[in-house]
Order: sequence, then structure tokens, then C-alpha cells
Amino acid sequence: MIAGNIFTLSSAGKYFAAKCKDRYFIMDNLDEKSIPTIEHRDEIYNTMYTYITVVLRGTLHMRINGISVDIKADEAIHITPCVNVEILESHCLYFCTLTMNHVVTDIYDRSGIGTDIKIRSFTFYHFTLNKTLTEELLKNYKILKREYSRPEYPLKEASIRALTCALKMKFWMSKHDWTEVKHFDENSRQQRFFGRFLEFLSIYCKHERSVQFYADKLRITPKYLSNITNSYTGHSSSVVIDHYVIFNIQQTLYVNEFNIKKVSELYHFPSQSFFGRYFKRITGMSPNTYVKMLNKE
Amino acid sequence: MNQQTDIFGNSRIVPTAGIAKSILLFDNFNGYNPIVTLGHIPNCKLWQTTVFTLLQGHVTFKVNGDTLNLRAGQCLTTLPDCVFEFIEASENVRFMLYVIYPETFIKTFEDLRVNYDITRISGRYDVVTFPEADLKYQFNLFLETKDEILKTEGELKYNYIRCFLNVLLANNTRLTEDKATVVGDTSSRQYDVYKRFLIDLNEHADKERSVNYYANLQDISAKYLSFVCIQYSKKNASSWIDEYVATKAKALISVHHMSTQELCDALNFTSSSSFIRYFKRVTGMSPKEYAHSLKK
Repeated sequence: MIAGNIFTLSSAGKYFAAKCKDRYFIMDNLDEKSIPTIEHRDEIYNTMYTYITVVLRGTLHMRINGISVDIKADEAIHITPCVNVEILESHCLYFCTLTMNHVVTDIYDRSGIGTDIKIRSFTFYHFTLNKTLTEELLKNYKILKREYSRPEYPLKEASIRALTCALKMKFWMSKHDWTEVKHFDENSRQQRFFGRFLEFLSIYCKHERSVQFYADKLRITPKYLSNITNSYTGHSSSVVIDHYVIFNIQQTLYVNEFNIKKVSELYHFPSQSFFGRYFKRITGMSPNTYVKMLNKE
Repeated sequence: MNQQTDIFGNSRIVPTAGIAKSILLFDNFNGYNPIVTLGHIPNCKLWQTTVFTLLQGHVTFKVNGDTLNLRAGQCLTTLPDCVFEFIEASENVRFMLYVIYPETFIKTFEDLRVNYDITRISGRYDVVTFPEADLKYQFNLFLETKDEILKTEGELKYNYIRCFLNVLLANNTRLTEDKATVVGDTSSRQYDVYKRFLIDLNEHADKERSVNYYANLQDISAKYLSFVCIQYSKKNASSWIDEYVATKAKALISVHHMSTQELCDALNFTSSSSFIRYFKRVTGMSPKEYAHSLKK
């Protein structure tokens, strides 16, 4: 589940990429003269990062949770964790930032941007921007890019975090300059159920992790719940619950200074070893390894 | 004169861009007379943090009594409570200046996750020489910050601009080094006494000059107050008071051109001769001589 970095840095194709301690990545192909090609990348399941791409020219073709999405010039896509992403062959000029989940939460908290956006998962947002906003975002991106290229100094990560925050804030502060492109009917019965399912998860995930509980809360059968989750994410409801819980745990670990014992208590696991086994079953690594990975220099 | 003198808030010095009482940017890139601009910063104790970078020319300041001759490529950072005096500047001076108010400064350090103790490092200043590449970077950052301040609106503007401040301060790494001039336990009651004294002093220095007065405000003895001051700043309470009063007097002379009689009234002295004697004792020159020295 963890292995889901959308743009592997070693792929072919001319582009610029940089990272800071595996928590912050940026990529773009802005230096190309003519609109370059982007090769097809197989579908992966994004779990660790929130990512935002802005297309300047051309069109980026993607398939997200099975839905075909075309991002044209002056449009942006925001993909939350726990989403299936496939990139189809495209011709476009773009820039993008990937930020690890818990960092994104921290940024949203500190900046005063609305708090509900930070807990979004299993979904994506497609925006149309007006030309001025695209240029402003590009300007902020270039400032961020310049910072990545500077030689190491003690607080470099803090600068990168600040400029990533500035880029996100620039977008969220300019509400009048973008509109959302809807890809699914929000008012459909299924979509409403899925939305409420996520809401219940956000409230009860620390106590309840069984499919029966959530099906009862929604007053539907477990089978129908799985039907709904399958049609949106391609996964059964128990998998969605597990993934949501892990996503939630990632944030909590960060806020609690990576204290595994405390987090296992917060989530009412019978014991720390239960917690460790649950975490390892879903992510493939123990909580300790995960924390080490996050903290590595 | 009960309010803290906000010299950067007065209308003689116009910022290039800024958010009132948080962060102000000054520069002279558009060619208005730099000497006039710098000269309008009166000699005073700065309670904001300032970051002054010289891009071209020469400038001489006196900070905390030390004479600093800055040349192009050097950056002076003064932390809160530095006593600042402008001496002279060359004709071709080009500079950029950030003035960061305490609340914003503290918030920025919180963002950077650096432990900041305002008293442990207050009164410090640092001069850094930037290599060519860094100077260019700082210049660009200044222009970008200025641009963002001028074009951003809305309730999140302050938080947004702070992002850029984070980058500025993160690059000014000397500030974040843990070299305190005084070692002190900051979680103790003594530290609270010290902080409270500075706040009281700021509020009452134009009327009260006795250590006993300030000690009484906190129900402690004058001896203890002085002891605490020495612990955290190597200066006793009466030195702090003298310095504060002298700084206020200097500010009144340079900005408001007050006469000795007016100064005596403003600062609650019994007679103008007692004021003159006091001023001379603390600063080494008479008020008249000081006023004269400003005109040069």
C-alpha cells in the first residue's frame, strides 16, 4: 500500500525533478521549447502524498479511480491520498508538487486554510483557473524551485515547507479565480452514501473498524456498502476502512511526535503488538520502520 | 508619551511595502535620497527586529555603542532592544531593510520550529557578509516579498506573507544559532520578573526613574530586581532605567526637536538643570551637544 509515488524520478522523458528528504517533491517540464510528450505510467495507488499539478499548455490525460480526466491548459488537479492514478500518454507543459500527507496537514493547520480539506482522502479535485492565477502560481512555483536548487543549509527544509505552504495558500486564497469541474454527480445516492461513509469514518475510526458498524450507521447492508466503495475506489469496504485508518494514523503519529505507544492507545487497540501487526498487514512495514523512514535525514 | 515610540510608524519614513505593526519593507531602489531616509531613523532603542542589507556604497551605524562600518554585500541584523544610531552614508548607497515587529518575529520562529527566547538574545546584533550568489538571492527574495505584499489581499494575507519571512529568517542562520550572550533559566520566576520589569519600564520610563518604583510594582525588593537584571542581561536595574530614559530623550530631541525645558517636562524632571546633568551623566554629552551632533 505504501509504494505509491506517482512520478518515479527515474522514468525517461525530459523533466526537472527535485526532492527534499522524501517529504517534498517537485517536478516540471517547463524548460522544454515545444510541448513535450509525457509517457504512459501504469496505474498506481497513491497513499503517501497529496499532489497538485498545474497544466500550462497542452492536455494531461489521466485516469483517476477509473474515471477519465483531461486537464487542459490553465487547469489544475489536486489528488488526495488513497486514490488510483494512471497517467496516459499526453502532450503538455506542467508543473507539480507532491507533499507527504502529514506535512500537508501541518501546512493546512498553520496557514489557516479551511481545515476540512486536509482530511480529504479517496478523492480528487479538478479546477479551472483563470490566466492570472496560473501565472501567479507559476511564479510561486519558480520561487519554490529555486529554493530546492540552493546548496544545503540547516533550515532549508523549513524554507521549502514555507514556500510549499505559500503555493497552496496562493491557490486557496484566490477562490474567485477558479472553479471546480465536477466529474461525478455529487448528489447521486451512491456519492452521498460514500461521503457519509467517510464522515462516519472520520468520527469513529479511532474506536470502530468493522464493516458491520459502518453499514449499520448508514442503514444499509454490508454488501451494498462494498458495492458503493467498489464503484468509487475499486476496493471493498473493509479495505477502504483499513486504508482510511492508516491515513488517519499517519496524521496522528505526526501530531504526537511519532509516539507509537500513545497512538496505539488513542486508537483503542488491545495492545501495542496488535497495533503493530495491523499496521504491518496493511502497509507492509512495522510502525517503527515507518517512523524511521519519515525521520531519515 | 505613554505609548512605545514606533519610529517606523511615523509618516516621515515611508515603507516600500508592509503590513502595519507586523512587517515593513524599506528600500531606496527608486532613487529617493538614501541619506535623508536613513537619517530619519532617530537614535533610539529599536524594539523591532531589523535586517538591513547593503547592496552598494558604504554606511556607518552605531549599534549598542559599537561603530559598524558596513560595505556592500554586508547584512546587519539587530534583534529587539538594540540601541541604534545612524552616523553617515555614502552618496551611492543602495539598501534594503526589513523591520519585523516582535509578535511576527516570534510567530516566524515558531513556524521554523526554532526555540526562540526573546530575552536570551535580545540586544544582540550580527553582521554577515554575503557571497555574490547569496546577495543576489536575498535581493530577489526582497523584491518577491514586496511584490506579494502589494498584490495580496484577504484575511490570510498575514499568514501568507509570513511564509516569505520564514525563508528570509531561515537564511539568516546566525539568528538561529544557539549562541546566547547570557545563560539563564527561562522557565523560572526570575525570568518572569525580568520580563515584567522591561514591560513596566517601557510604559513608565517617561515618569519614573527609581528602581524602588519598579520593584514595588512587582512587590519585590530593589536589590532582588537588580539581581535578576544582572542574571539575564549583565546590567543592573538602574542602568536599564538610565539607558531607557536617555534613549527616549534622544528620540525626542531628534524627532521632535524639543528644547531642554520641554524635555524636562516630558520626562518628569524637577528642573531643566537636573535633566541636563542626568543626560550628561548617562550619555557623556549635554543635550545641546547631542542635538548639535545630529545636524552634521
